[in-house]
Amino acid sequence: MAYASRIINHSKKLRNVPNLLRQDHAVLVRCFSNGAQSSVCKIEAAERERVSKFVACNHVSSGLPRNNCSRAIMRLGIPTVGVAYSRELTCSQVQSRRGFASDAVSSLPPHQEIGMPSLSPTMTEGNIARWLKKEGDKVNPGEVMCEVETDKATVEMECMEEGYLAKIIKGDGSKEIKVGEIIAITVEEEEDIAKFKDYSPSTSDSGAPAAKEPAAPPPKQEPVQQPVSSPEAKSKPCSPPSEDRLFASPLARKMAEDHKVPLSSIKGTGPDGRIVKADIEDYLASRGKDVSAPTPKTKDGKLEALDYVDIPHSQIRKVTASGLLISKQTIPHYYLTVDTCVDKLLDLRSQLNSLQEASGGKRISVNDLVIKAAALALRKVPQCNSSWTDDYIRQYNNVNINVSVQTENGLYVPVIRNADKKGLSSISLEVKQLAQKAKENSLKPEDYEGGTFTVSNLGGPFGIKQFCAIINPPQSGILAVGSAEKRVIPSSGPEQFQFASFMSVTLSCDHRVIDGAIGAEWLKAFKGYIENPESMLL
Amino acid sequence: MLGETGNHGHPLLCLFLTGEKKTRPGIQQLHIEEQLLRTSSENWCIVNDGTNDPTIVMGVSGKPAELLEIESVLDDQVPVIRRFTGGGTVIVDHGTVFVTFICNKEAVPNLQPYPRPIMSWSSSLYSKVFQGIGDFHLRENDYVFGNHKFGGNAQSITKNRWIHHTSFLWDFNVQNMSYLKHPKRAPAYRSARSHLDFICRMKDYMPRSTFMDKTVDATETQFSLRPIQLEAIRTCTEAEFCPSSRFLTNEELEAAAVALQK
Repeated sequence: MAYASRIINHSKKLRNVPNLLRQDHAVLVRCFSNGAQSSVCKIEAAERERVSKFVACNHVSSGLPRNNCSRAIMRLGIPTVGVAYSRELTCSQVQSRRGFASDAVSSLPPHQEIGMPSLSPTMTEGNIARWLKKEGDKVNPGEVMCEVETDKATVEMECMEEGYLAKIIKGDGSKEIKVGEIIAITVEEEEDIAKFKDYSPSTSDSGAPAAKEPAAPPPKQEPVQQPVSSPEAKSKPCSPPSEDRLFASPLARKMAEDHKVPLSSIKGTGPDGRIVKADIEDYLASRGKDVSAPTPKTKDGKLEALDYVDIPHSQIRKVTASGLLISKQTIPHYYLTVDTCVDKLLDLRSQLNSLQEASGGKRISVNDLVIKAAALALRKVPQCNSSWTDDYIRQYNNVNINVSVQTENGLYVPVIRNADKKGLSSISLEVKQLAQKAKENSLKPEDYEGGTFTVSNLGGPFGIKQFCAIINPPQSGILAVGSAEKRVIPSSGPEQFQFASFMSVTLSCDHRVIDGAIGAEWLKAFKGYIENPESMLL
Repeated sequence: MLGETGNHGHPLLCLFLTGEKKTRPGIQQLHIEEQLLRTSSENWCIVNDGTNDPTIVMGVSGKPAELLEIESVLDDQVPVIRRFTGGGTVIVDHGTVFVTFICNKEAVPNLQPYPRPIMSWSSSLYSKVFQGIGDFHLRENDYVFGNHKFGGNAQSITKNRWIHHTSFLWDFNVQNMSYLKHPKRAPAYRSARSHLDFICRMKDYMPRSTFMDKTVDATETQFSLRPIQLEAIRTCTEAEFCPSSRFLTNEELEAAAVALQK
């Protein structure tokens, strides 16, 4: 843990140590410098050249003990259009890489890598506003080295250990530096400063940890070369047989003629080496792949170019993405599932719908009934109709339910205000109207703001049995509804079994606001309303 | 002076109100604030009633090309200041009220000198001011009524002291908003709303004098107030101090515009 504590020492917030260690997106990241990051992003364009320099910055100075990072988990999220992947490396993988980079490692004297400090439990990145010390300056404990900026605050970062500032990796104005990313190097001895003159984290290591990643996406050269080369070998046109006559089945001949495939370039796998239809099909399939590679015959490590399309982020995608990411990262989710017997509910629905048809009203859907039941349950258990803030839990008196609507443009979540006070037909009408507005992309802020709880339904046409939804901040709960299915259950009657329809619902709760027992109480209330829908009249 | 307390054992706070109609240029306000932060050892609360001409004030690492419509800014010669605290961009004029707290880190008991705790502390102070009025709370880093922003915050935290300043949108000129681009980084609760759907005017909620009085009252619950005049500030601060808030020159703005086009 010595390495981990060293990074924490360099971070201003010693008191945040428990927070830092608990964080998923670990502060203890010794990850890519800007140089290596950009090389990752260009990976598809210049794969071959990058192999040796790829992911190099995990250089560990020879001064640090070996087993120090066993706890540190590195997670990298590098969002780029078209290539979005996150990888997890454990330090032990990095350790094993050191063997390959021995000469690079041993040339630098012992030094401390200063990481970007975390200034709040939710801080993930920051900027360097300015350095107050320059390269070569002596730094003493308690002296301010630089000013770090995050969101709305600039905070002075102090030095913790005596030494000299050898190299500034992220200079004044550097932006979007991830917490834990190296921003400077200090050394204990003055004469070591000069050795870091040209230091740059990306050039210090060789080897490609990413190449060993089993789950790495396609643009990785080494492991992919193996599987790529074998199908290539299989599909590569073999040297044509030296005979003059080629035996091929009539169907194969016709197919070859149709697709303008020279029979001489195909190896027959039929009886007596006859070319059969399957051989032509194989050839055609593999030829499609080969054509995209520059020269299919050469196996010099060139990867087949990937075919892709870059879809730029729409505004709603951006908003949804950032909101849900923040939610998942900052809200302690837990999930409670119950199965509800919906026989009575479905009966009620058909009764109501025949009434609606007779009077010209809109059909009531199962989701409308779910919304009503959820709203009433929130009235019964208002703790689930709340929001967390740093200073208090705000319990809302209105029950405003957001309903998720999937459209071509993305996911919208319009709101039904005071759903507990509305009748089923007005809920149904409103949902349909809002869904239409969503599809037309004409929702106004008042149509989706102010919700206190969300219901998300992937049953019915979507056919999902059960799922766990992500809470929409600042709400503290979301109900995920699955599809109803007929099940066989034990019977208390003359038969040994009977049929009943069940619908699975999962409540995601924010544990800061809703304790397990309270969440269970809410689900009990909800289940009560669903299984005995007449109780919604009370 | 550290830890000097007045009545009731509360720490002493020097209160400086510019008073209505006595506005001061934004840059002077920032210089004074920075000087008090770095060279004074007293606690301060400064309330400044706006500036004269519209001025754009960017955070310490704001990039003009990203945040401003540079062509209009240059055409209309709107002054642009880069202030010493972090945070976003505002355009301030006589409709903006600034309230600044500069404190020693021990001034508020049990307050950790980090961004979030200071933000919470200031919001609890203002919730006394806005009690019963609108639906005031702190949303991410902004003061909102409901989900409409009316106050923006910025901080700078040094080894032993911190400054937290708020620019309150008492009133604003819609045309002035057109000098600012939509920020790349916006708080999640903004939900992609346009400027006018996102902010609101404080004057719709409370008279100015009421706001000032209530702010002073709320501050008095935690500090022992000592009213100060401007001249007294000038004398008690060092002459050699060199503030870092400054105007961006026309050349710098033009260079930023050119770089943007490349």
